[in-house]
Amino acid sequence: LPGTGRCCKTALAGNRRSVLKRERTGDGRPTTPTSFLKIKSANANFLKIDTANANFLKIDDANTEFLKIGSTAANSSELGGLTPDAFFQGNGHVVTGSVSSLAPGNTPTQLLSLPGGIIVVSVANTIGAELQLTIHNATGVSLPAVQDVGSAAGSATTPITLPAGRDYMLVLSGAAEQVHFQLFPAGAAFPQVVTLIVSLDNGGAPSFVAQAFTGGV
Amino acid sequence: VHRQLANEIELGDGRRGLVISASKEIEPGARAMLVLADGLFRLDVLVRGDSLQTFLRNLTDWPLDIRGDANGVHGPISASGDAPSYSPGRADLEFSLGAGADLVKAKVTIGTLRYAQRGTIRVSAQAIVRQAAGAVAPASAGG
Repeated sequence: LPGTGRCCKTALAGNRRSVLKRERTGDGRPTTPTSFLKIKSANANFLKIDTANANFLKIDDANTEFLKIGSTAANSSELGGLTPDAFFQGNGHVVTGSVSSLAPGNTPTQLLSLPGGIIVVSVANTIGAELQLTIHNATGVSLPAVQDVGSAAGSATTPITLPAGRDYMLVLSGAAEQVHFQLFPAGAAFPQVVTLIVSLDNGGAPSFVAQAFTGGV
Repeated sequence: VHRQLANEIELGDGRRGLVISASKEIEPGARAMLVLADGLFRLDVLVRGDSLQTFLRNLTDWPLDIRGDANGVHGPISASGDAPSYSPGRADLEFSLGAGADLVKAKVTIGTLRYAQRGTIRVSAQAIVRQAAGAVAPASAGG
């Protein structure tokens, strides 16, 4: 190379010789050719890959994480985390709940809840009083129903109404063994039938077990 | 003594239907009537081991077409609280009676609870009986 006393194959190759020539300043120090990017300029103008990784989402990650425009979410048909078949159409739902050895107390204990919490059944072993069974109707409409309270002596069937957004409370005598409800359709707001059967074991600390059946009409 | 609730209901399209529900605690091997739709059908059940056997008697002169098998679980079932200790189970049965303008459809959902200490099984059911669209009203049913 000129000025170094060394020979370089590349340096001798025709038009590349100028690339390797170094201009020199007045005091003889070589200068960087203007055709190369200075590291300071690069730092100032270009984004480093580490910084980009830290700040921006990769397309592969975005594809696996986010829904594309026009796509359908896998859970788009769910309401309240439940699939449509949980809402009484099709084959309906069977819900079972149980409370064992209910301790005395005035605070109700939930026995079962229908999907979406539209009907919630609770029981309480009230202090100094009888057992109480409460049905909370959260449907927003009053529901026509019948109840049948059965004991060893027989049973009594009574038409009732479950008021919208409120509790219906039934006091159970010590002889009660089973309570049976049918809840009827109430227009578009409640287009289904619900059967609720509560069995009671009142020997010692009372225990309850209940099953509810729902079916669309 | 057989006890059930049977009530007329109004279907979504204005037709009338019938909902029948009942519950019985039975011993394994004993056959019991579970649902009776007067003049239409009678459904008996028998629990044998871990199997539920159903007997459907057609009380009409119409043909019976069973579409669902009570041995299969056809819908969701959920349990809360201490309920899992009762081993809750479910079965579904669908069938129709009649044909053409005299078609009546029935969908029966059966739930079971096993009382391990007593060695018995509580079998409960809800049956929804409805006229097919455009069908003529069948003989009155009740329980």
